[in-house]
Amino acid sequence: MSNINKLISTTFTDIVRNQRLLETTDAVLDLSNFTFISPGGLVPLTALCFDLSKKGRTLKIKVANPNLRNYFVKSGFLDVACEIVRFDPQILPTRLVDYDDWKGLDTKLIELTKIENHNDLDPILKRTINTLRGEMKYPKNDAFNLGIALSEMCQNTIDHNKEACGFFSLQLFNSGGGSFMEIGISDCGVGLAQTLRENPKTPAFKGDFEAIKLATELGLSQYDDPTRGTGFYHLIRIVEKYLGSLRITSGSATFYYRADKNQTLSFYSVPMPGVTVVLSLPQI
Amino acid sequence: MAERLILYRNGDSQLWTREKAKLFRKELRELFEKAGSFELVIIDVQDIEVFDFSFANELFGKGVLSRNGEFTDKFLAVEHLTDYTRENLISALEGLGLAMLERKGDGYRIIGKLHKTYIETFELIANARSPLTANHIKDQLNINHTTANERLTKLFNLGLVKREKDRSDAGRDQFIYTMVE
Repeated sequence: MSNINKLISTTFTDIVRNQRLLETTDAVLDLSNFTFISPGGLVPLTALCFDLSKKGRTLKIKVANPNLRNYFVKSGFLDVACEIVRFDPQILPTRLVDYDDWKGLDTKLIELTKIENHNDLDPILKRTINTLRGEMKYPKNDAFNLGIALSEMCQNTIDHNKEACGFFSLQLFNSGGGSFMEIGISDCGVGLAQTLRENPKTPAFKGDFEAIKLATELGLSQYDDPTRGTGFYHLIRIVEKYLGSLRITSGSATFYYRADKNQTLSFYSVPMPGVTVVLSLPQI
Repeated sequence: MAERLILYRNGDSQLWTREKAKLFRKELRELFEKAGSFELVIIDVQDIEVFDFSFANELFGKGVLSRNGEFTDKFLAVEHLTDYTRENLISALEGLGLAMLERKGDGYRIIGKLHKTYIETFELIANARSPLTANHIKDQLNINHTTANERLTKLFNLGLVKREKDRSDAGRDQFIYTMVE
């Protein structure tokens, strides 16, 4: 039996594999013994739910822990995904009334937001910058730098997925060494390999690992347009500068870069729809 | 009198996304079409705190490409950059391999990606009190005539200096180079 009890970026694909969520028709995500969810687990879960929904399937989520159940409401997951998931025990729709009262008030949380067009980005980015400056004490320009990197990331989810959408979530955490912020961005689109192949000028590449590597280089994108393809590149520069970490998952590949240890890892994971990016940054 | 595209509107000091830039680029194009030959179009970024790279690429990058490809008889400059927005614009332009004029006070500078030899030539023109010819450049930089001409032609083609026909003392046709007004 798996001893995983956190739904986070490093456990999500293992959970999907262990619980066979992509294989079984009546997929059940059993979070009975889980105690924690972060944006790194929440956004790919949301993308997965939407992807399953497109295929006519509804994910059932078993969760009894009251704190976790509260978090599914508070984080915005229920608001975004209420029509495509079932909770066991059920989380009453009346909880969404409470959610409407407190949405936007927690300065340590940016609720899960569905990104369908560029207009959805403006309020997310402004709130993120306010959180960075207010809670994380980032100087103005540093907060802007991060806003820029996030903007590029979120625009990727819209630009590269004509019929899909993206999801964004931010949470601040306190740990022994100080606060840190985790941002999760995910989509249920076609993934980096397919989007890059749509550009006839993309150099030949073999699979998902190389697709991620190419996507992080300046100027490469789905489009034969020298002004595009800068998002991942600038995100990595910012992670380097602020000694954060970055995890990119697309298809069956995951790339993980930890700037404080100058460590890069690439490994295979369960093939997942779309792209997931998890960014972690320390308080300055 | 320069045509001016003012980016600060309705209290919005943060400009995000390529889509937002497309709206401004449409207006920029209209200003290019309206401007007369050898006239200047300015993108005014006063009170703008930040724009992302997609915005910069779409508005400034494609603006420069439009000027260099289609509106070759007009000039384009940006004005009222802060240190922060300048740094980001430079980063965006360098990523695209482009350069443009920044107007600051009464003077101009080049921002973006351009080899230092062209910047050196540009600065001679920018600091000169009168129009310069290829001969002036050749003498002051101690380079040959062909090289001087090549540099000046490139600066002119990139819309960074103005060029007019003139006649030398010997009665020959020549070009004289000045800064954009």
